[in-house]
Amino acid sequence: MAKLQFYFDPLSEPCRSVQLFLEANKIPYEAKLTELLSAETRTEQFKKINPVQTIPAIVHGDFKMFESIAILQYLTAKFSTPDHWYPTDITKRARINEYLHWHHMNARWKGGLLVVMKYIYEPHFYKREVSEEVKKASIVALKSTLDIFEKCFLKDHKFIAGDEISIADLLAIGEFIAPDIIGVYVGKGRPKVEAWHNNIKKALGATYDKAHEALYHHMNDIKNLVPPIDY
Amino acid sequence: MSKIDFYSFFASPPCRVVHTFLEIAKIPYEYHTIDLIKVEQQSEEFRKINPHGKVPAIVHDGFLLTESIAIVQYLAQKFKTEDHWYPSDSKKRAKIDEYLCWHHSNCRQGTGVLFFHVAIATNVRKQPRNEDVIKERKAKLTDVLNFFENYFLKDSKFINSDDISIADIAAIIEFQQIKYIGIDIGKTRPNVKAWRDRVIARLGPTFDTIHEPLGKMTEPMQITEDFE
Repeated sequence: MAKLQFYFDPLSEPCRSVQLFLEANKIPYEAKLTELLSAETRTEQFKKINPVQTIPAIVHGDFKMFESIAILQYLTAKFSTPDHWYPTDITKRARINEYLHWHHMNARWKGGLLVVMKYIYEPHFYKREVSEEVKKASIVALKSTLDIFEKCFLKDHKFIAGDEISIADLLAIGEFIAPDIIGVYVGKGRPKVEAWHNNIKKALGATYDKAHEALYHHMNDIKNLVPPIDY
Repeated sequence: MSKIDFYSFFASPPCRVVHTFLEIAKIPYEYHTIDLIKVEQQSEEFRKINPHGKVPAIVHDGFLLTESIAIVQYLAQKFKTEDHWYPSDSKKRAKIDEYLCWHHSNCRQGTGVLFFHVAIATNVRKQPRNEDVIKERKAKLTDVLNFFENYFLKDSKFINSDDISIADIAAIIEFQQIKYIGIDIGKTRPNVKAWRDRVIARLGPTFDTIHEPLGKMTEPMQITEDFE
């Protein structure tokens, strides 16, 4: 099998989810750092890798694809990883698919990234005006998403799918942990979410820390930009 | 295997995706209307069946499932439908999954929200036209259709595939919705036009039947929205 080329930025939530999976399963890959803040996805060269110019993207021999969730689904099949990551049992798989499809417009777009965008990236990196009202609305949206996440998906389980970690957990934690670097920790006041986060850290060990190194390093870069946030 | 209990409403595109697949794959089901206009999805009675309070939802042998795409993926596998709907080959399936992921924050965002502002907010709720949002959604729709024309349909007759799949059903349902506000997605894009006509022909009379109530709802509005 050809070696996998993985185009990613460790500051990107969906990229971290795929990186966690590759590392946890010891899948060999060639790391192709593609920095979002330096607009490296906008080059003509990257357009040949992925015409929609998003990361993560993979090249595997003559096969190319994008979309983190689809990439994870492909990797579980292609590298025959342990079943719990994405079970072959149709009903168990459906339960995970249910989370994966809810994830896009909820955890991804009304989750941790929204808060970081409104408080840090839009005002300071993209130089856009963001009113206090819009900033506070991002916190409200995150809380509402977390309410649904706990009630409909996490429930009383150790992990989203039950007793074992799956790709759903890698995607969810990627999004929900993002605002930790500006002092918004989703486990605050939510013991089930905190316990779930700890279960993930325990299951992944050093792999979890390694995949989050760049994120927490970035925290130092932006600490002077972070206003006090009531969370 | 027992039949599917299917909770749905005609005006919801994700419901129509599941409905189309149930029909085309000839999966036995019972249709239960959950009227979104009357907010029946929030009723205590429905929440006992589905605590998520959303449609579409299915219950199959006691197994509750929400999210339209997860539902059609389950149906394709559980009822062993023809392979082209959701191929078992890992690379072919990956390209269908790639579209199904991209769909949520792209296709749906260029169609559903646009339809809502033009048809529902303005015509039904009699609110003033929000030109900024409408302009922004039309720009999104332009980007989406350009990706269809130049990527998803560039080298294939269907989305990332030589045969119809659940990706095509998900997409066509969204694009058909905006036909009812006078938008012709194939007007300036030959790949898109050919794909649309091919998919609708393949889905046959089922497609027209499923869209009848939406047609009846929008016909009196007589909307012809500008779009190239």
